[in-house]
Amino acid sequence: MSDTKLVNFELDGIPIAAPDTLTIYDAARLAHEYAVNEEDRRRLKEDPIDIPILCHKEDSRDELKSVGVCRVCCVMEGSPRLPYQVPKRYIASCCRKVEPDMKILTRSPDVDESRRTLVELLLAEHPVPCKRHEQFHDCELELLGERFGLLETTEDPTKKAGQDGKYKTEWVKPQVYTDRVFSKGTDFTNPSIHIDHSACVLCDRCVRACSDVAGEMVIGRMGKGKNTAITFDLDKPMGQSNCVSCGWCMISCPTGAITYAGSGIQAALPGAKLAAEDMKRHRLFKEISIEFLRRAEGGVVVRHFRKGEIICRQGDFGSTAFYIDSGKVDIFLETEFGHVRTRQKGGFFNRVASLLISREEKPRKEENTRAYIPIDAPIDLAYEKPFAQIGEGELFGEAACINLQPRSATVRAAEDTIVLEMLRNVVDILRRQKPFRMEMDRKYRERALATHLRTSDIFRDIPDEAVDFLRPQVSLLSFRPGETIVRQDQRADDPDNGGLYLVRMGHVKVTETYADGNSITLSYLSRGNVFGEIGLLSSEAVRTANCAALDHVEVVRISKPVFDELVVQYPALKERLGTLAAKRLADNRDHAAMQKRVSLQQYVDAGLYQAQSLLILDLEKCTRCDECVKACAQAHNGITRLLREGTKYDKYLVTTSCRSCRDPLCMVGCPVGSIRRKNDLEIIIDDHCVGCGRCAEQCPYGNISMHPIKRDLSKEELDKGAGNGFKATVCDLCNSDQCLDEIDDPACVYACPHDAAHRVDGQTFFDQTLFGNGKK
Amino acid sequence: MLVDRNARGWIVATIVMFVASVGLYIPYVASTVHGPSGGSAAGLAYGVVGSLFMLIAVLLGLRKRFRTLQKIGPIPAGRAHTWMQAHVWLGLLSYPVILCHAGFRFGMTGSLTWAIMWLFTVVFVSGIVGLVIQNIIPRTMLERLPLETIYEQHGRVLALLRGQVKAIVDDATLEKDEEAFELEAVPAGAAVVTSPNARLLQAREQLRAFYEDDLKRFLDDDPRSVPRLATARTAAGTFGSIRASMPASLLPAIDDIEHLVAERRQIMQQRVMYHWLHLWLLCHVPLSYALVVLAAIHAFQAVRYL
Repeated sequence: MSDTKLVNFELDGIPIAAPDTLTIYDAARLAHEYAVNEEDRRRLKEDPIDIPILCHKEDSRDELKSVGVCRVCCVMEGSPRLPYQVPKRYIASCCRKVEPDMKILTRSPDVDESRRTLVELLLAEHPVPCKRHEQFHDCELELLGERFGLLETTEDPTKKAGQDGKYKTEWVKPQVYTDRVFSKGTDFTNPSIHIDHSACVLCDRCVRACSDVAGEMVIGRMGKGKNTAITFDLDKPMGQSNCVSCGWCMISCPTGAITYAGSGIQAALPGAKLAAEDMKRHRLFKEISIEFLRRAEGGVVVRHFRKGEIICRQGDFGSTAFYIDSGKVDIFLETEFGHVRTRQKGGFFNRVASLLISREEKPRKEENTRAYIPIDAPIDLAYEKPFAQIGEGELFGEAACINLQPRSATVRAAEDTIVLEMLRNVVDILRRQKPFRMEMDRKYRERALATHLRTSDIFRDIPDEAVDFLRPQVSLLSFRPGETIVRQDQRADDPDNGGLYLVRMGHVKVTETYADGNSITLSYLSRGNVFGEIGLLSSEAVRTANCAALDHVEVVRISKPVFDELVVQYPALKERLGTLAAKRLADNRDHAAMQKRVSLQQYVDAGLYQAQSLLILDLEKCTRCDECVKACAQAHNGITRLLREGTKYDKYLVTTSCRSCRDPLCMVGCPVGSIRRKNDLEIIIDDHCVGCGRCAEQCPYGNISMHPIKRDLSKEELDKGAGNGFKATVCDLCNSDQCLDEIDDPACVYACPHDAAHRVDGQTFFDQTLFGNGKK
Repeated sequence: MLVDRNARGWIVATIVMFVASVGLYIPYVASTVHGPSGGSAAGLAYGVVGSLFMLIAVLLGLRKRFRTLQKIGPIPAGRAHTWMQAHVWLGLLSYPVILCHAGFRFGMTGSLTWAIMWLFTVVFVSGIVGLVIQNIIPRTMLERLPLETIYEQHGRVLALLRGQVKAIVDDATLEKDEEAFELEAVPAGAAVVTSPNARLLQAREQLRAFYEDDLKRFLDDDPRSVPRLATARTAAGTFGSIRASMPASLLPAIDDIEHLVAERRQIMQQRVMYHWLHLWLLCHVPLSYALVVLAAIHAFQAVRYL
């Protein structure tokens, strides 16, 4: 990465140039990428450096910090000015960062002997075999014992995996010391997790998982010397402690000290349930702890789809993700592009019916100009032809599963296809596996980055050469709900989190904090939106707002040096970003001015503080003639966007019509990003709305309606479960070309014959009119 | 339309034009030998101007059909409120102008001009009545009907109210074992015994009877058919007497029912006010169109035989 410094050092005599943020362990694992010579890279790919680990656990989010307590990953550091053979010291490769001119020896008889001795000493305190190894041949310590020739395992073919005695493990040579004769005790007080203290090697993985990953802080260490053991809530039985049985300790434990005692997830997923041992053999799950897989049994099913069968349908609320084991799938938007209108039918009473008007038939001026539609798959759909195909080894439906969004597109088997359908906990664990993440990220860089960049207005016409330039340079980062991505007043050229961000998955909340400690929400950003441009372009290079993950967020970060290099080649990008930054700054200033003008608390409860454009009716003037409603319907193809009903304040009725909130919650969660702001005020729903209803659910004021639409469906389509569907409708302040393009007022205000209807800014109006803080 | 200070410009213009019309009428009458006539030059001028005002007033209906009309040819169409102001003030002015045109005569009984003048008078008066109503009733509704809802939704709201009242009564009159007995004070040393809570059982029966006899009818049919609940005063008295005979455990239910009855009464009042607010239009609008047609015939005849 360009924002980190590359350091040159030697690994087993091979020159390496790797980022200084890597540990020796990571640099060795990725040596085939960082070796200076092509020949070395090729050789390392065929014969990678394999440093054994025990207390260290790879985690894609680096939440399980390395502590180097077991030292099994030790490597020898040579003296920089002396030949390799002259050792300086042994160091733990999992936590020591690479440094310039280091000489590291990872493979030598001395290093192996040291590791072997460490493993042997740990095994001396460990039951051989432990329960986990006896059932699944999966204890990491005993596997290391086998690797170093200390132990030998035979399999009993008459028994199934999971049964006691399936695997028999013995010392190869009689050990020089006596076997441990005492037990450190067991704890079976938790119904789903069992503890065997004798099998614990005090690697602290469970302690770190409980505190740093799960955030529960229940597990700790107590005692000294041989009495040292892990404890729950300062030595309570696990079942009586504050443990929430999340299972992170069990997933992290390398041995049989913490094992699963329950009976798996009783999920009602359709398809063939995949047994833990079958999962373990699958390439997708091979890195995952067997204890977790046992617990997740039922959380993964194998599903076979014939060509043409629907795997998932857009708009459905699914809580699973899909991994294509074999075959190919088509991804497409089922809903026709278009907006709704009401047409008069014949007949005496002029019956009306809502119909869908295609973009070709009557295009809308305000319709999106974007080139791609963001969806929940490793690819985006072209706006003009929303269809794509993905194949074996691809994961889709991740955002629907993790962030509980509606499905963004329909997926159909393009040929006979086998998929693994997974529940959220399985996907979550998968996402934490470094090899899995790396593979997914590699595919993303190769296939999706280009279209993803082009979903953004800023990068909409970025040439292929620029994408090729960015591909290896960008960082792909993940954030948990609530986690801060960038903080106000932080440096925008910071090597760790400086630069420009592009949202890849999830939603980002942008807030600004003022000197008095108050903060307001400036915006919500979703897939395809960029942020961080203001700090990047300003001379002070300081962030002007906080950006935090609202749900599980993934972003693409373009560091400052890469960005600078890019804009030198493509100055148009800088110009566009400059325009965007200026617009956002102006909006922020407005927000700040508003914040100072009014006392917020009075309006917060009713949400009026959020309203930028309230439709209010003066009930002293209003004759309840409904001209406003009729005008709205007339301006919007027969479908009204307002109801003359709502909350009353003094003599004013706040109608049920979009308020163009400052904090537009409706925009959070749209699976295809069809709801957006236009001109920083009105909310627009684009024609590719899939009718999932998320925006209507999210609007706290009930101002978005789901309008049923009529489509001409064939019998075959109806048999396949296709419905007429819905489209979301919302007040657009009549700023579309169907409405009043030459009049400033929206139709409801323009058509009110009694001067009772007004569009006002919530804060200003109520502050001035109701509380007398100024002249109306 | 509320006549407020925003209409000052229109009011001043109307008064000025009215004064001008009357001011011009006096020398006009004085200059004639046989008295004013609609066929004279001045009379015709009054007729044209008055007809133009009437036409503008009538065009409001057409303007309201095209609510989102922005331009009429190259001319901006104007807001509906502007048209309403024109309707009211020019409509008001048209009557004295037409009177000037007619020489303050209604014509021979049974003639077209006689019919037009009477029709015009009815339209004029109904318009003024409507204006007054529109200035009074919205304010009254705002004051008296805090639970006002959309007129078209009344049926739905009433169904909800009926369901809520029934649920409250069902729940309150449901026999509960723990409440069906009461503790009885006995001399010291004797055992405490329980006996059926006669007062509670009686109260439940009374509430059920009140629901069956009055509440259902009040909610289902015309509320005025139940006088003891039809007005706020009588309802307060009715609920006061019911409350006095109810045990404490049933009082919250009575409070809820009273609140729902008040809501029902507000719907009834809203319907009455809504009708007052709009029913005058049934007279004003068709007669206005009839007036325009007759006036057009009159104009045609007048021009033909000029």
